[in-house]
Amino acid sequence: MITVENLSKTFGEVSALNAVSLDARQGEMLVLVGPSGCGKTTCLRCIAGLERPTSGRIRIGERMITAIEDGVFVPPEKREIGMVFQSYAVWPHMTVFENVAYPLRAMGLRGDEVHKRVLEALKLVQLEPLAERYSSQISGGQQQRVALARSLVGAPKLLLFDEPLSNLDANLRLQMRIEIKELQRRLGFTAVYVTHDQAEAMAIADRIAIMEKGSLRQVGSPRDIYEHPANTFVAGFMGTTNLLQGKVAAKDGAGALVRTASGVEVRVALADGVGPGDAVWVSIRPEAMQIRAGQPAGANAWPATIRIATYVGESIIYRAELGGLNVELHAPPSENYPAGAGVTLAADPRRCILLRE
Amino acid sequence: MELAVTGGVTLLVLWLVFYPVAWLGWAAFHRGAPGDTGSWTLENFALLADTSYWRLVGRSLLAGTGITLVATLIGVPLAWLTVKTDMPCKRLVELSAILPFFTSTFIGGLAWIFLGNPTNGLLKLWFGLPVNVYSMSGIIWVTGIYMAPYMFLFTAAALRNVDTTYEEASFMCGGSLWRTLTRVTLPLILPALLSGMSLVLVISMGIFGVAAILGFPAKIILLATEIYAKTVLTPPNFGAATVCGLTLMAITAGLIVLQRRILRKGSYALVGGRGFRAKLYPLGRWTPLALAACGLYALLAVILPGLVLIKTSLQPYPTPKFGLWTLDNWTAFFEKADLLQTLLRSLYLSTFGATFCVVLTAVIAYIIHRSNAPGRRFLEQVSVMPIGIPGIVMGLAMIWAYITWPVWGSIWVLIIAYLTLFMPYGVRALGATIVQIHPELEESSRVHRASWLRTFVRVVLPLLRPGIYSTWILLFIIFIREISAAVLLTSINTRLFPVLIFEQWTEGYLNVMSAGALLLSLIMLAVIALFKWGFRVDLSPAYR
Repeated sequence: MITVENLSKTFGEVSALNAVSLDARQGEMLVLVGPSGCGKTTCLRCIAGLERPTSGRIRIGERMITAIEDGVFVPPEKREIGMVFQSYAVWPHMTVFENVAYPLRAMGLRGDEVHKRVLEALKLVQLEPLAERYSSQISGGQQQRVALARSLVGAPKLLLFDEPLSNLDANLRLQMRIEIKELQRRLGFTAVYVTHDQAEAMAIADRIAIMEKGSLRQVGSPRDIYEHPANTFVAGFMGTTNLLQGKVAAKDGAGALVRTASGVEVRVALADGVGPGDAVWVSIRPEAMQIRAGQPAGANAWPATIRIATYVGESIIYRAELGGLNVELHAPPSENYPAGAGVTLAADPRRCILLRE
Repeated sequence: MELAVTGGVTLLVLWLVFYPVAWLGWAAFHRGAPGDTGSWTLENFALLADTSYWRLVGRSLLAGTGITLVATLIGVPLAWLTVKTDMPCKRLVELSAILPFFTSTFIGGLAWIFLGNPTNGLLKLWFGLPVNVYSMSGIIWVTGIYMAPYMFLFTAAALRNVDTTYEEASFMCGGSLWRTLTRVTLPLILPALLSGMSLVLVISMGIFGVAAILGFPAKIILLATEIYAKTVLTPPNFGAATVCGLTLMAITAGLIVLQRRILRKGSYALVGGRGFRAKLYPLGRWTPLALAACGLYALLAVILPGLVLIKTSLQPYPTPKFGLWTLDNWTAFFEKADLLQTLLRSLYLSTFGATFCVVLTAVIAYIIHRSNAPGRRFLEQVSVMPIGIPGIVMGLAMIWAYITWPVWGSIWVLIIAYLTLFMPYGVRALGATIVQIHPELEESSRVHRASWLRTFVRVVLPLLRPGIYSTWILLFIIFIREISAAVLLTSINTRLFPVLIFEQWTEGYLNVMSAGALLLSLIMLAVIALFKWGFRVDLSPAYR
């Protein structure tokens, strides 16, 4: 549906995007996520036509909207898209109705048609009663819905979201997340959604594209990315993880054995493309580690000392020392170990992920 | 579309600024009067070998520096008192410090002649004060008190931006008020202060009205008045006038470059970013003294000059006495066709001129701050250049440039000159408004299928409206009171009101022209009042 090929953008000497290629299928919600300055917003603005890339091509369906090498650059207003901005950008000098009617009027529609479609769009976001209000008279959450209605009203080929929830308070953010997702399911629109919040990305995405320093690091379903990160950056950015650095000590049909500098041995189930002696990382999620009393026995069980135990309600977060390294693990609150206690930590080799970089 | 508009506007601005200036440069190297195709020469520069010429330049620099110092010594303490202390009656003090900004140094100068002339000045006759405004110190004093509002506004704005915690930290470290002021507050606002001072110096160097009415009787000639004398008085010497103009412009342009450098180097991040309520310094037993100082300024800059003009305008001839009251001076403006016509012409020019200027500068400011058009930085630099061109120099340059054009002798020459000279004020004031509009409000329009033009008309213009109103008023007031550029460009058919006041004054119609000066002030105040209370426009963007 939308295809981005080799998109690059430089600001003077600074390279904001390096040959990024992406696509989103019809009806798919693609989320661009990454730390600030990773280029995700620049990428979105290039798709919107608000920024002119230095090189690359962008297609919506079969229609070429940007092909810098061929001199094609369709201005934003001719791209048939809708966009929800971080600041909402609800025009303060127009009523809610006029805001939502704006794209239709710009398309040349008049009269009843405009009226009908605006009310339909407002109904989608449950804002019909507020049609005659000005933006100063409605709440931040309601402005957000106006922005959403405005982006949908013109039946755009593609919807763009630029950190739309970052100005809302925590509860409203969770609620809007679900509403946007439901709306997308119901209407089946294709969307590219930018956020820096990995939890939001996981919750809302059909597929996630992770960016860092202007380049794409991994694209996949939320589950895929969380459970099989491509590298240490992705593993660390998408949720918390423990990264153990070491060398491949042995490799066999059941995976590989990785030994850290301090002598901790970790068995991993999947070890494609590495051989003995290679420097690697092992990522173990906090919830993939079990804690128990007593001495370790068997593979992937290590002696450790609890340093800090933090009770957070649904679980206890332990920070422990394991072979000279600090690790974090989440355990059910039913078990309770005090700081300083000697314990055994264990992890299933299938949940110990080998990373090459 | 965007590119075409940017290109067109840039060409127009380049034309407005450089066409007359280029002619001035050409004229410096040629013989003859404007309109002649004089032959090439260097003899205009023979002037530079003359020591009396350099004394003239030195005198002008002295006057400018003196004016700037007076304005600073009045404006800065007033600003500190109103912004940083718990002094009562702040609104009133602020009003008296801003009011002179909205009238004119020229009108103030006229009033001060009645107050401080050496023979029958009221200060001498009533209080025995040995003052003489027909002197260098007179020019410096009178212009200085009317330039003080600029320093007041600059300093007040800078002080408002200083995060109070910087000062509180100094007090917490045991610093006294004096130590805090000199070691913390002053260094923090120094860049703003210096940039304000250099701007005041630029304006003072080019000031014509006061320098003429106070300087000519005492034979004190400054560069601005020398240009006038060499152009208007017989026999004219355009070559010498042109060299004076170029000298003056070189000084003012140099100062502007200096000001830019100060601003660029010294922009401290002053704003704390928190919504803090500034803690006000308690004046305690010094309150009466502070109020008295503010009152004295109001008395000297507004009240006394106002009263003396009112008194004189109601009397048939200049006299220190009371009595002989008459309304003839006022009714003259409505009975004599030429006076009324001049007044209407000034209103007409200011209304249309301010409107053109707002439209042009709105487009310029929008391109500078919001477009990606290449060359927008260049456009910015060119459009604020006229700040460094004194009005009288612009007037002289316009004579050279447009004397062979059909617009010559019409009011359009004046509109073109004003448009060029005051473009920077519009670009600044509107630019300040535009940067406050969130860019996403426009981007949202573009994405939702509106073209560049539609976005400008439907989104940008409505959001700019408050800024447009206040900028329009600012320009209207500047246009209607302007005299420096007009004095060389008006003919009998395009006489403007301030020029009329000046010419009739020098011919001795003091009482009628007192009424004229008051009338001009009243018009300006009426326009401000109409917009402020009638249309409820917030005027602060214009001068903050």
